[in-house]
Amino acid sequence: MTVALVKSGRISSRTRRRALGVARLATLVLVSLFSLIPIYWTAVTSVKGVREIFQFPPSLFPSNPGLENFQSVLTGTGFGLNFRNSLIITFFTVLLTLSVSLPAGYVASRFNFRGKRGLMFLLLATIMIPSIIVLVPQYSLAVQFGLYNTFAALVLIFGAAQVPVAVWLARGFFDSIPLELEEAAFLDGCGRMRVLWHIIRPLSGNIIATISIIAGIWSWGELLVSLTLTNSDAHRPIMVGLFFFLGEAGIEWGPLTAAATMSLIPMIAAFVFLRRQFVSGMTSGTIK
Amino acid sequence: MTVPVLSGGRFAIRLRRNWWKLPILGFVPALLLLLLATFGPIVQALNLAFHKTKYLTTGAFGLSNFASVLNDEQTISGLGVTVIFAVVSTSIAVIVGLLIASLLRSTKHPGVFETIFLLPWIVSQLQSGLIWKFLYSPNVGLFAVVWKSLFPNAVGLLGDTRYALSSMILTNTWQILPFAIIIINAALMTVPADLVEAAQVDGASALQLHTRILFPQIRSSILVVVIMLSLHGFNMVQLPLIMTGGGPAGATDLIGLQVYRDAFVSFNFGRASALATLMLIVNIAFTAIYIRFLGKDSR
Repeated sequence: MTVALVKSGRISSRTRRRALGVARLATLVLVSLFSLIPIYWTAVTSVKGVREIFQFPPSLFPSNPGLENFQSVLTGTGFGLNFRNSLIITFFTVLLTLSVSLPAGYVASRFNFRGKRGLMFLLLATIMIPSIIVLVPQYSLAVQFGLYNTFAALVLIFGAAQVPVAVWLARGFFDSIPLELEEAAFLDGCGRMRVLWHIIRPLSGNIIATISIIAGIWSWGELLVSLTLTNSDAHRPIMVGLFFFLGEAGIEWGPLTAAATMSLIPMIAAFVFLRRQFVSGMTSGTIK
Repeated sequence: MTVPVLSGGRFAIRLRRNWWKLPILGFVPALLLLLLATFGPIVQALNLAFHKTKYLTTGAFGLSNFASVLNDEQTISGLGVTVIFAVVSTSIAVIVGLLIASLLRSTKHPGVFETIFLLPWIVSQLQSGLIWKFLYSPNVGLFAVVWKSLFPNAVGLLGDTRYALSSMILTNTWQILPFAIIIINAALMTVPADLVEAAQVDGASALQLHTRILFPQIRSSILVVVIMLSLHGFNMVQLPLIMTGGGPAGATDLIGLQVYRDAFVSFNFGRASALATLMLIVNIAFTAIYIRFLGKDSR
């Protein structure tokens, strides 16, 4: 009697656990679909013809996929040029962010000097500045300095937006490298520069990747500064080109989804490639 | 070795012999950049806010911009819409984020799901605005088609005063949910395993384990998520700019969009800066809580 009870209890708890496991997986899959479907729907529409786009009910898989929309985007608009511009702007923004934030992060990690706490706090405080408030002055400064409609203005502003977080990330990273490594080299008579080059640089691949992916994805996707500070296709970044697909005279969804898909590909590729670094950049500093 | 001198005469400033080895020099490029592109502009924005302006020239000093902004019904109703937008999207993202992060904790292969969940956060605000405008668009959009088959008499989602704001909130939630999931998930990993085991040995149910042990342990991370996402919503410009233009009838006319319109449609930079200054004050108040909390926790 007791044996039977225990047995039935065990079975029911096992089925219960299995049911919970299924429910858990189902929830995760459901949220995955919610995350993916909008992106999938955009990509799949980009290879459809006009008639299939307006077909009812809509087709989840393209019946006759083709690249006409991509062709019309690349030949009929300045989008190809915008794409190239963004590659240049993103590259130099990442370069600027790294070359400015790594020294500051290293110094903050290895030296004590008066005002250091204040400086680091000042950097942290920039996150409370909504980007819309500095947009007007950034525009007027760019006009006054003759930097309106140049890559340089965008790179400087994007870099400045990314530097505070990058310095904090770099400082946290250098804090994790044991001082003893450097001290041994100093004892052997190395100077600071040689230590930086031979000991710190080879260890820094991860932080460079983290800062690059975060600054890179952000600059690639920036719209408001880009929209405000450029006025010709030769200097417009990709997001402005994409924005202009929202024409006054109705939207052509085929070319728009094609352009959106093209603008997504480099971001998603970079993200999948450097996912771990991206996540570590996102989470460090927010959890204790 | 010569000692560099900054200026001649009695008040010459003699720099230290090895001045180029001063550690603070590592900070100089970062500070110059921020001075040029962030701190300088902040000062100028405050200056503009307190002056009458005509394009980029400033006129009389005064509070007329603030008076104009605060006496405008549009500002007040926009503020209400903005708060609803920020609070509702943040609440949904944090609640769903807590659920999903807890589920991820006990999954064998969290990496695959993590990658998928993160994608909407990679997508830029413009891209998500366009993608969702497409999904909501009558006759062609997936959501609009489903919606139409459920409610045959309904007009388009973004064109209807009743549904426009909710539709935009769903888009924003889609974009920010990854942030909530990832931060909460990472925080859950830091909860000591023996704490969880002790609770299980004491017979705590899964629900009790979460509400009594795990969530209280990570409350500072949850607070960070709440504050960051609230500000993200409060400062939103792009989604209404792309999806609705603020309409219909002001239903999605967020404060951030009003600043943008004052500045780059009417070119009234003074008024735009005054409204943006009010936004800045809200941001400072929120961030002060955030920094205070982080500071207390790290001690």
